[in-house]
Amino acid sequence: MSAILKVNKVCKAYTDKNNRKQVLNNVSLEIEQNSIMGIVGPNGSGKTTLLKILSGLIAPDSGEVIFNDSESKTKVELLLEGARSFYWNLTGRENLDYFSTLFHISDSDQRIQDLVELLEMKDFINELSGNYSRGMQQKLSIAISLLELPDVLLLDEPTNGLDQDSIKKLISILNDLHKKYNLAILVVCHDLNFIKNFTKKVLFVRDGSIEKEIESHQIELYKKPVNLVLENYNQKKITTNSFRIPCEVTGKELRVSGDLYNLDFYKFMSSIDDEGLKIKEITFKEFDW
Amino acid sequence: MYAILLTMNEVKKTYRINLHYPVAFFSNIINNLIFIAVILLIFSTIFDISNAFTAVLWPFILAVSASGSDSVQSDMQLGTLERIVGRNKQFQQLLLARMMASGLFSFPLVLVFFFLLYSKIDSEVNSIMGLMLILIPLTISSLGLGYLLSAITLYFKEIGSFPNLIMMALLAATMFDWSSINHTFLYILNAVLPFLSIKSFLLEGDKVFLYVSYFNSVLILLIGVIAFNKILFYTKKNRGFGRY
Repeated sequence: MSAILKVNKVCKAYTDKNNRKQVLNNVSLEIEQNSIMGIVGPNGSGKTTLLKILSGLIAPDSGEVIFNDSESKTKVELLLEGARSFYWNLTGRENLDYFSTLFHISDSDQRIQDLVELLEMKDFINELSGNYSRGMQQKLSIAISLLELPDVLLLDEPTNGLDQDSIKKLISILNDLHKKYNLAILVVCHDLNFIKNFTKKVLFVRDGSIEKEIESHQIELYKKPVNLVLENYNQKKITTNSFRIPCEVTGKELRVSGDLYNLDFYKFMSSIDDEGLKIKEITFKEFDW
Repeated sequence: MYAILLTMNEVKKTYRINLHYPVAFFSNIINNLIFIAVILLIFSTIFDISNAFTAVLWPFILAVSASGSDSVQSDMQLGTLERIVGRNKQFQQLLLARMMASGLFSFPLVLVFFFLLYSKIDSEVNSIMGLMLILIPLTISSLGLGYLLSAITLYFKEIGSFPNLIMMALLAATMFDWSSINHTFLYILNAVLPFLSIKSFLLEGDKVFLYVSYFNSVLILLIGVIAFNKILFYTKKNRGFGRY
């Protein structure tokens, strides 16, 4: 499959008074046509900044974003976190009408009608959007984003504030849109269940760099928290204090728990083989979100 | 064509918001009427008619100049600015449409007071054509100021009532009696300060001031547009268009 959007060695730093914070560090990735990709990582790891750079809202300090075909530039639409990005003192339909003129959409009435039906917004489209529930607001935000059909839809924390039923509906809506319009979708989310059920590939971002890329079903491995019982623990060789993680030593057994978003725990997990430890038991606690 | 479409879109949006919130709409109109009437009364009794006339044009100037920065500020808070800038590459054009739409809403008030003062103005402005003659540089200056204030809003994110303060200071500068100062300096002031040359034209009827007002308005518009584009580029290069 061909890439419709390529990011090549993008770097970005924010400067606030005298502090300079490197947010993205040599990030490279490719978004393929008709793909669904997820990005996960701890807060402040640069996920939203990456989306903003992809959508052209922020310019990178170095590196480039390449839109694949030369004939027509890839259209990228970013749907930012939460229920913002429309006018609360207008109804849903008035918002759609306003943005369709702003985006210069031809045959906007038909387009609005299609979206209202597709996103099941008929019941509330003529109400003031300030009175909408989070789910309704999310639908309206998506509808505005799809007024002019993008090639790539970027979603930042789309499940924030939604209950499980609404998340299921959102997945179903996004899947329908993906199939109907062949959209490439890139979603940033802390909800690993959503990532697992909706995306195909997942990128792990940490400290401004893409750490790894996995298939979304492998996300199970990154559930948190993890409980481990390790054998062959040799106190002389490895001291648990050096990893600063909660642990309990019983003879040659070492019990530890933590989550893989925690850097200390992550480092500890990476060193298990090197230290000659063997995993006796591993349990992933159920999702607690 | 797209510019007209954008302006009408903004007019429609404002009209719809006013329909949803009629109390706010009518109290704003009544406030404006009282404000103008008081200013008119004060200026026509204490000062000369040219000052009074400039004063009644002020709501129009204020509506055009402040609406740009107001919209940038409220869009930033709502999060709509990121959606608009992300998709609409002609943000500058949209801002122009917003300022024009705001001007259109306050224009009827200007017309009402123009006809009230019609007979009292002893200059070339006492006709619709005359009004148009001064409305053109007035509008261009207001747009330039609007871009400048929007640039300041983009840069500082939260500026509160700063645009109103600037406009009040400009009103005071326009109303001030500069006649005692050196003539060369007066011409420089007229060329640099927005709106002053329009008042000078109304006061003295000297067409040179009218030409100066055209020069002055184009200068302000140029400064405003350049500053706005620079800040737009800077914002894109730095923190972005979010509130923080």
